[in-house]
Formats: sequence, structure tokens, C-alpha cells
Amino acid sequence: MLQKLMAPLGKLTGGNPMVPGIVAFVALAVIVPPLLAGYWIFLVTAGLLTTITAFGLAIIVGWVGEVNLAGAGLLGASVYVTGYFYRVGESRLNGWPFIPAALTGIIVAAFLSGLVAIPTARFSGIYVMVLTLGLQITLERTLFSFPWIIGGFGRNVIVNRPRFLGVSFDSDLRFFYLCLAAAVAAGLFVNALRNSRHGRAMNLIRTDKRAAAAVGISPWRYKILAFAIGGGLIGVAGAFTAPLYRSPPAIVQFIAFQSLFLLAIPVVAGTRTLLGISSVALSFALIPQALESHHLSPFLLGGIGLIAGTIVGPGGLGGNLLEILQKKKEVAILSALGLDGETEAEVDLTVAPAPAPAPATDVVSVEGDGDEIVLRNRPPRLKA
Amino acid sequence: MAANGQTAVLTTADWTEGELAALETVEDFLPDQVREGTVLRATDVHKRFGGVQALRGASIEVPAHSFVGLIGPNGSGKSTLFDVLNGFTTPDQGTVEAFGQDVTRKQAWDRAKLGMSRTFQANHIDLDLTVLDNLLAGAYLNVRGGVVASVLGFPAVRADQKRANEVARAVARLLDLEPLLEVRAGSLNFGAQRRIEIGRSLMSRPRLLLLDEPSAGMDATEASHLLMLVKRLQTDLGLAVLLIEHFVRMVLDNCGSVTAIAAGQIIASGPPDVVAASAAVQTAYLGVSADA
Amino acid sequence: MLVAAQFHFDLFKFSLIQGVALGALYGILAIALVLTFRMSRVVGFVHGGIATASAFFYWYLVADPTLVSGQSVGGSAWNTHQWPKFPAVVLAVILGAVLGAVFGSVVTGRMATWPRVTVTTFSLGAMLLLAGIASSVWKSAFENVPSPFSEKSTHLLGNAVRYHDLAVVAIMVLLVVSLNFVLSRTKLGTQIRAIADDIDAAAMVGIPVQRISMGVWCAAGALAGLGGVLLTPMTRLGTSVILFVLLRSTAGAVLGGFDSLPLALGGALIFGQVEAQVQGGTFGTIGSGWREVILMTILFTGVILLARRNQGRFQLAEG
Repeated sequence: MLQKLMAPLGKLTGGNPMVPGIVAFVALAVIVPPLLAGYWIFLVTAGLLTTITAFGLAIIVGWVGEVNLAGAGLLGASVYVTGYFYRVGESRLNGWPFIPAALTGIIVAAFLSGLVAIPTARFSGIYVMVLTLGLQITLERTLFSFPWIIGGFGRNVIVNRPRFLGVSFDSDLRFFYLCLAAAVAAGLFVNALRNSRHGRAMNLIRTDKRAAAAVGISPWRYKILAFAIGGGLIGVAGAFTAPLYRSPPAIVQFIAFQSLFLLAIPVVAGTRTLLGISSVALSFALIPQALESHHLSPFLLGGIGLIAGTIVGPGGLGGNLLEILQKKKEVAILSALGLDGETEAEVDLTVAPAPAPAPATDVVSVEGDGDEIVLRNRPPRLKA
Repeated sequence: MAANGQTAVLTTADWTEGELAALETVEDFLPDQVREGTVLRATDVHKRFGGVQALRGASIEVPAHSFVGLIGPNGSGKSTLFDVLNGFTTPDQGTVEAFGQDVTRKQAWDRAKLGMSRTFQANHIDLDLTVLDNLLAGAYLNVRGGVVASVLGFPAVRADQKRANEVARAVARLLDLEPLLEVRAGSLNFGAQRRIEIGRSLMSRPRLLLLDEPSAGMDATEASHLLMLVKRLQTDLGLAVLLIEHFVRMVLDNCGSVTAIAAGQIIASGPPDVVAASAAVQTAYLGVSADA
Repeated sequence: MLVAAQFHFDLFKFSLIQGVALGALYGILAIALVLTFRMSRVVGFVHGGIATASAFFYWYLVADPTLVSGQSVGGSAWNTHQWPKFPAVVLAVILGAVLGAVFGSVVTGRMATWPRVTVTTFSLGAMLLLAGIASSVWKSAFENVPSPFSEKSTHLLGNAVRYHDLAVVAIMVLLVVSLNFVLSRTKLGTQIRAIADDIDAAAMVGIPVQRISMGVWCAAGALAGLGGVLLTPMTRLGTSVILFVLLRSTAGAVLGGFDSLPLALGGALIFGQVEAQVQGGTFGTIGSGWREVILMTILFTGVILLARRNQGRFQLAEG
């Protein structure tokens, strides 16, 4: 049934994976800003940053197959750490330039994420879930409760929009473009990683750890690496979130339930299409606004998302769409070979030599006790 | 039972031109094969799991450029022995030597670096990826570059990736998978998926292949075709292959040396006709003493 | 900060009962988690959602409409009838049982053969959904929730102790005793334990596995609901609290290996005690951050030990 819904989408994109990406980029960059009023640009910017977070979670959830429940906590850690160093304040640790401050936030998030992966690298599934939840709650009750780092509860802490390379990204529109660039860069990074031997290694680990080990991949090392890279990407999102509101955001955005909400994005979208993840991330940033006006909790969206995602299957919506697109190509190939993927090919069970497609040379046979194993000069086309 | 125990060797004259080219590519890609001596030796391996003594003093040898079969009834410890050889389990007692080094305590991925590769009874391939992507996953050790180099696409990384692609195509050619490279593994039948798994192993530049029941789940005809393929690759690429197989007939007819295991102990080892005639083997399989 | 650590006996006594009550509360949820894990090998995050739903429902029933500050947000404006406490508790527990049964029927039915991590993710989603529904339907702004056992306190060991806390401990003891009785002395209990040991073998000898598993999920849901109702008078009503409590209970269950009820209870009691003592200042003025670190270290160690035991010594062998 899902297939029928997705089929028209498949036709639209014409089967080329790059096309939708380029279309989306053009749409966002050019069409959106003039059309949207100020507040909506702000929301879309937040959506772009959520996309980067979702990419990070996708690496952990989709590529190595672990459920990370500390997504929001890591995001918050990066936001507050970056904000602390970057903001205007009296301590001599305040007032750093944007890039070093951002790097610090990113490293903190990557480090914490990698740290929780170390004891769990050798186990998986439920144990990892519990420990990441532990990290989340610990962050909430330690880092997020220190007033000096989250900027107190007053309004007198200012975090300016960044300025570097001589350019100020102060206006909402300029900051939007900066975040768009960051999101595109993150997407290119993730794509390159996926096609590199490291991405392939992570995927093989998720398929089967032993198979990965048998070709030389250390599952433990890569799990830690995946958590660190994923955490780093979340850190990037956090670093850009710090100046988004021009003051430190409230901790309620980074609590455990938010982790679940964020987790729903790669689960719903699947982790194989970056565009799918981006679309879902943007929706998840925009829809809660609509929900709030009807007094509905955004948790509803997250809950429905997670549940729908688990029912749709491991590929998520994106994976299902990809499957449809690929099936069309495959049907052409398989039918050209005289095979179709569905029916069991017939195997010739007679012992007599079947006419071989290649020029025949002598048939070699081994005799013994009345049984013959007839070896053809090459095996008949093994039916795939 | 073959009368003279000799295996029928298929020579390179039987490959087509395209396949010969592919063979050469793969041969160049693989490391220099061990020509003499022993590639793998396990000595006096004991392993207990909880209350079960899975292996009692098992020993096995794989000479260079040989095709060795490991047979035994269900539950005899074949898979446990493989796990020990491969590095997934550490034995309680005994040693494992590979390529002249003691690897008893080495992890499986370190053994893979030395040139030991292994396939599994059940297919462990990603059904959502194409055949090509599945094969490329096996080339991990042979593409250089850390994360930064890979993402930024340094020339060395790109060259290695290009080469891996070429080799993958050659391997696919040899395994009758070439036209299917862009097809997702999930759309193919079981036999093709098995071959993908073997192909992936080849991509890891092995000098020794451990094949765990490669024909599991196939009927006799498919199984014999697959084993013929494996045997041809073994012969022409110079690999050493140890395989667990349930089709005893196939093993006896094609392997240069056979080892039989039952209840965790090796009950016979040597040329196929000797093993087949062994009373212990017949008892283990047939449950009767062979005096007919 | 640790320099300020010293042992204050009087504070210790004061926090003792509080710690036991807190531990008992964590224990109720831990029992629910362990029971459902043994039945279905799924971490019952959904119990957090059930506890939240029941807690909100109970508050909605018993809150005095005129005093409720959440009224302006539109949630409970339509509650004109203020229910007496005990029937409200019963209704909230019934809600928990119903939610547990619904969830259990999906898990033991359609999802019976799905990978456990997938089903656990589904459990997470269900928790989020329930929390979302509860907080949308019954709006709350961190209300104070009246206890079904009145707000009064009595004296014990020279300290004031709330009736509520005593009641929680009493309920816990009652639960443990009756659970122990059911599990070891009744046919149903034997069947439950058989399923927990080996689900396929139990099915083969004719035990109605799905029916009993669903029954256990239903009972666990009731427990979770009870836990939610008992929890909120000790804190304030809100969605975040429940996840925090759930983690403590999960930690307790983890220490018990998710298999052993007594150990899980023990773990829950330890967590409750440590938390109350550190918070109450028994060990001097250790910052609350350190308390978290201590508790998390216990959790981490427990998980690692548990995983090592269950998955063999860092090996990749099958099984």
C-alpha cells in the first residue's frame, strides 16, 4: 500500500538521486526567503539546524544501528558551551571569537558521545539505550543546572550573531544563508563519508558484526567513531543554535523527551536518503508551531513519528521510496537477462549435459560406482 | 565413492577470455600466495561452553594451495572449530597458527589483515545495497585513508577506490554476477546471495578462505555448481581453502585432504579415500559399525 | 566540593524514611519493568507514558477546579466534578491497566517476532505519545497534586514522616508479598515463570503464552499507573519528572539483571536511599551534580557488569 502512495513521487524525480537534492536547495535558497515573513525564516533556520542534528543521529542510528537517547542533551551541551565562550560577559572566558567557541562546543559533544560509546562498544541494543539515557539525564542534572553556563535565568546575557571572515551574519536572512551553507556542507560530508570505506564499514557492522570482523573491520572501534562523528555533527548544530536566539535558550529544549522527538526523525525518514531526513527534519521544526496553536503537545508528533517509523520498517519512508526507484531500474536489468526477481528459476535436474551457451569443449566426467557427476566445461549460467 | 579418489581439475583453458582477464585482475590484487608449507594449523584445541565440551583436543592443518574439507555430523563442533580458527572464540587450551604466526589470542579483524577470511552459513549481506556495494564493503583493508582523507577525496584514496571498483567488477565476473552489479541483493535469489558473500571475502585480499557450509540451503545441483566455482577459484588463484560441508560426497570427490570431526574430536584426517574408508567416520555418520 | 563531605547522623535519620519511600516508588516501576522484560524481552519504556497518563488523569479527577492554575490554559476548565480520592486512584489504575493491555496485545501479537530493539523503539514512541496526549488533554503547569493518603504526617524515629510516604512503603511490601505468593505458589505463577525462562518451550507444552503475556502487560500497566499516582504528590505534576523516575527504576532493574525481581527491588531501594541521603545533606554539602555522577557511575557499572555476564567476555561468538 505504501508502494502505491510512493509511486507518483518516484515518477516525478525521474530516478536520478541528485535531482531532488538540487531542486530542494534551489527552492530553499532562492524561493523561500522572499516569500516568508520574518518569523518563518527564523523557523526554517531552526529546521536547517535540526537537519544537521538529524544527520548526526542518522549516522548512529542508521549506520551502526544503535539507539542514542542523548541527542537533545548533546545538542544542549554544545549550545551552552559554545554560548558560554562566545557570548558577551564579564568572565575572561567569555567573548571568544565565534569559530574557536564553536569548535569547543563541537568537540565537547563529540567527546561526550564517544565517551558513552566506549563501555558500550562491545555490547549493543538495550544496554546502549539505557546508558545513553543515563548520559542525557546526567547532563540535565549537571550541566544544565549550572547557572553560570546556561546564562542564568535573566535576559541580560547576550549572544551575538557570528561574524567572521569580515562578514557579519547579524540579520535573520544572512544567518539563514549561513545555516543553509552549514546544512549543505554537513550533507556533503555525510554523503562522502557514506561512500568512503568508513561508511561502508559502519554499514557492514550494522548488517552483521561478525561479517565485518571477517573482512578486517573492528566493530568496536567503528562504533566509537560513529558515535563521535554523530556527536560532532550534533555539536555543529548546537554551535550554530547558540547565536540563533541571541541569548541562551531555555533548557526545556534539551530535555530527555526532546531526545526522543529528535530520534523520531531518522526513524521516520529512514537513514538512506539525506533529502528524506532533511524534509522530515524541517517538518518537525515547523509542525510543532501549528500544534501549539491548537494546544497540542509536540510530543504527539514525536510519538506518532516513532511509532509510524517502527511500523513502516527499518528503511523508513525514505528507504521505501528508494526501493521503489531502484526496483524500476532492476526490473529492466533482470528481465533483460531472462530473469525476474520473483519466480524461482528452474534448474535442470537431468544428468545429461545441457547445451552450453559458450562453444562446447569436452565434457569432463568423473565416474564411480554408477554415479556420475558431470562437470561441464563451465557451469551453466547460474540462475540468479 | 570415486574409484581412484582423484579430483577432476578444471584448467584455465576452460575460462572464457573475459573471465581470464578478470582472473588476472584478481590475481594481481591478491597478495602473493603461500606456495609451500602450512597456511593454518590448529593444535589440540579445547573449548567448553557452560556445561558443554564443544571441542576436545581438535587439531587440523591446511597446507598451502590446498582445498581441505571438514566434515562431521550435526553438533560435532565444526562451527566452534571455525570460530576458534577465525578468532571469534578463544580456546581454553590449544593454539592456532596462521601464516607461521601464533594467532591464538588475536582478534578476528587482525587475522583478516594477515589474510584469513571467512564466510558464514547464513548470508550476512545487506539486502538493501547493490551487489557492487556489498562487494566493495569487503575492500575495507585495501583502501587507504582516515576519515578526513576519505571525505575530502585525497588522490591516494580516490586511486584506491577506483582500483577497488575494478577488482569488484572482476570478482563479479568470475562469480557470474557481473550483469547484476547494480541490482539490489534483496532482489536476487539465495544462490546469488551466497556468491556475493564469497565475492566479498575475496575483496579482502585473502590468502586463506574459511567457508562455512557455502552450499547451505541449496539443492545438490546448485551446490555442486557452487563448489566447482570455488574449486576453480582456489586452483587458479593459488588460495588455500578450508570448507565445512554437509555434502560429504562433494567433499570426498573434490578436496585434496579431508578432516572428519565428531563430538568435538577429530576422528580421521588425510586423503579422501582413507577418510571415507575409516571405520570411525562410518560409525559417526551411519551409526553402525562398517563391516560390509 | 567533596571536601565538605562529612556524615551527619541526624540528617541520616531524617532522610532514611524518605529514602525508603523513594526507593519503594522506584521499586514499583522496576517491578513493572522486570515483569514485562521477562515476558517479552522488551524494555518497557511505555510504562513511563502510562504512569504519566494515569498521573494526569488522577489529577484531573481530584483537582479542585477553582484552585487549578492550569485552568487558564484551557485544559481542565471542563472538569466540574471533583472526585473523592480513592475512587480516583482506582480509576487511574484501571486506565493504566487498559493502556498496558492495549500495548501488550500489540507487542505479543503483531510484533511477537520483530527484532527486540525495534519493539523497544516502539515502546519509546508509545511513551512519547502517551505523554503527549496526557499533557495536551489535561494541561498542567506543575501543579501540586493532593495525596490520596492526606497531607498529614506522623512521627517516627523522632522525625516527621508523611502518611503518604508510609503508605507507599506499605503498598510496596504488600505488592512484594502478593507477587511472591502468586509467582511461587500458584499455577499461574509457574506458567509465568515458564514463559520467562523459555518462551518456545512454554508454548510447546501448551501454555497459552500470548494470553498470559498480555495479562502480565496489563498488570504491569496497572502498576505503572499506580506508580504515577503515588509519585506526583511527592513531586510536581509534569512530563519530565516521569522520565527521570523511569531511569532510576530502569537502573534498579538493570542492577537486578532485568531478570531478578528481588535484585531489581534491591537496586531501586539503593538508588532511592542514596538519592535521599545525598539530597538531604547527610554527607555534607555535596553538590547535586555529584549526586548524579555517583548514581550514574553505579548505573554504568551495573550495565557493564550485566552486559558482560549476558554476552560473554567481549567475544563475538554466536549465542
